[in-house]
Amino acid sequence: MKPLFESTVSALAYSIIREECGVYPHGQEAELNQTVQFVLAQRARMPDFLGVAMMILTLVFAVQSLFFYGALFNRLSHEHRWKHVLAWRHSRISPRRDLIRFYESIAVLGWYSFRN
Amino acid sequence: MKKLSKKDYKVLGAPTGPLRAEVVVIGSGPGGAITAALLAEAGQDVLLIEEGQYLELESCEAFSLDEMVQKYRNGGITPALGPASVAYVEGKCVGGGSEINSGLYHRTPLKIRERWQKEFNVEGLDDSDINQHFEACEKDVDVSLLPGKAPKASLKLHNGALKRGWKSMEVPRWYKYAKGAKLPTDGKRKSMTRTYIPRFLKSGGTMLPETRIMRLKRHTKGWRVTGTHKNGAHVEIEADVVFSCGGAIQTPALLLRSGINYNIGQSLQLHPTVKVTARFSDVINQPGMGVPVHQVKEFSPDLSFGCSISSLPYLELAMTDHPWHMREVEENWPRMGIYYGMITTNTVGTIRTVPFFKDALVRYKLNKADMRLLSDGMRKLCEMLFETGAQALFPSVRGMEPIWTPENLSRIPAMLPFGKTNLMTIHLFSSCPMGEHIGRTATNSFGKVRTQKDLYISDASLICTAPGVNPQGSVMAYARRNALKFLGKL
Ligand SMILES: Cc1cc2nc3c(=O)[nH]c(=O)nc-3n(C[C@H](O)[C@H](O)[C@H](O)COP(=O)(O)OP(=O)(O)OC[C@H]3O[C@@H](n4cnc5c(N)ncnc54)[C@H](O)[C@@H]3O)c2cc1C
Repeated sequence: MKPLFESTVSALAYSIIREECGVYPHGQEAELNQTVQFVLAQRARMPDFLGVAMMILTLVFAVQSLFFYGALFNRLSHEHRWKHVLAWRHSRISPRRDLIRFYESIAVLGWYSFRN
Repeated sequence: MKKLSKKDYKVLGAPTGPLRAEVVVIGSGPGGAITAALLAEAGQDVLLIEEGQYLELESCEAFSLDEMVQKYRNGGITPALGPASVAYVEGKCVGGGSEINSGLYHRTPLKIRERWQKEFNVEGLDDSDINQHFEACEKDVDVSLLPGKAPKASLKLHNGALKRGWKSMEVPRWYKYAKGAKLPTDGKRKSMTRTYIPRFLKSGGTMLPETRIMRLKRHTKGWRVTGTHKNGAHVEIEADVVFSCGGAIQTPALLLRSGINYNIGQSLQLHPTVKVTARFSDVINQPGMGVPVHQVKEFSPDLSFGCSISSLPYLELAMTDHPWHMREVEENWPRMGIYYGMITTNTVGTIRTVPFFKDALVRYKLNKADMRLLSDGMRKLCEMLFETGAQALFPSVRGMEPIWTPENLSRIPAMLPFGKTNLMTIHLFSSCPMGEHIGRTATNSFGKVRTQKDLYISDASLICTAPGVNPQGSVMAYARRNALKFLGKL
């Protein structure tokens, strides 16, 4: 479970930074890795019951892409990943929107802090 | 009394056996630090326990990621859940919130104190009773105005308010400026680790940092206080008297875990806050800009306005509500600033313990009237910003179109949408209100817990309702007043 969770968070953070901050992962891997570690650490620091809920929801997010795109989230191409993110971001179900919002906020804050 | 030098300070590591103290103070934020210092100075044997680390104020850059990691509870990821969740933050380090805050100082407004006297029957709140405590604390932490010009982003809001004929003021801060200082950045913030904590240690008080207290248990001779040190060691302390000063969320959580629940954790209040990111044509922002100090108080206590920390990472974070415009921040950030509108409402929240988990569940149920007031606040804030030359405004509402002209203000709905509005707060209080109204309060007017012997609260939980102003000035004054009452000096 843990490896799947971590690679999903890592893929999600990369996609967010690439799409929203306009960054391609060449030449800035160190800052990107720092950002991913920060996102994982922040999830671990959350109030304990929320951290568990967030982990479960992240795994649901990862596995759901199997049904739509035939592969786990972290194995998808960037285009498919981003489609999946957008589907959750605009979902009518609020925990799905909250999940994307959570990762988006931490990844963006982390990226711009480490990069500077 | 002999004052100790720094090398004699008693700061404990993980205890290897049970401890004993006359008075145990749990939590070293403004409430706990003042209580501990005054009691130790009066010769009491005091043990001050703090869950977070004992760090210098300069251990990290203010408002940075390092600070979030070192000094914020849960890394700053703490939501009050409800139809519109409110993100809040608390300090977790020696000095509590005072180590991470902006230092903006207000006394409790007279109108608010009158309300507390009327609705909660709080004693000792007249000017003649309370002003001496405000004055003493102001002196202790050097409350003062900026020596030079305020940051441009702060002045922008001030000018916008004045142009509309609204009252705006520079708020003083707890900052010490060297004689002849010319720049706002020349000062030093007088947090608890720079003021009351050293006073406490100099008077022979003992501190136990990195220890979380989990339970209080009353027995025939006093209190048994139990918890865990960061290294996993079990900690047990015998005390005659306990002061719980963990702040407005952690104090009720601790008391509820200990089975103490009369009017505890049922009336949490906060100042829900919305933000608007503004872009101007002129430069208003720079690295190390410092803390904006102006607040617009024309509609206080219902609505207040100010300027937030606007570093590049925070600007980008604010723009995640407008993903199409995120990239323009990189080019334009020197011309951008983040502004806030904060409301005062009667809505209350709750704090509950969750079986099998250590952290508390915080709920806060904003209603339609609150969302309408927030919308009104957002509109007024935008009006001021346009008045002072804003070219584009980005409200903290996901998916809302940016506002380019005053005519676009009609885009702000009369009631902000529950699921899409990003709300936050840094002001929490009222979870264990004080007063003589037995049905509404958890403690008497001086923080003594109503249903328990020798158990006191002295922190933001006591504040009866949202004060509509930054609360630390109130927390400090009531902590001082309550400590002196306990010592029989009032
Ligand atoms: C980012 C930020 C900016 C702010 N800006 C301002 C401002 O400009 N002006 C203003 O007036 N106010 C401001 N505030 C609010 C102000 O900091 C708080 O009102 C004030 O710190 C509350 O004091 P307190 O003593 O009630 O609790 P806190 O400051 O929260 O301190 C409580 C301490 O108790 C410890 N603790 C809790 N539970 C336990 C336990 N079980 N065992 C051991 N230790 C425990 C915590 O770790 C913490 O250090 C700000 C707050 C924040 C977070």
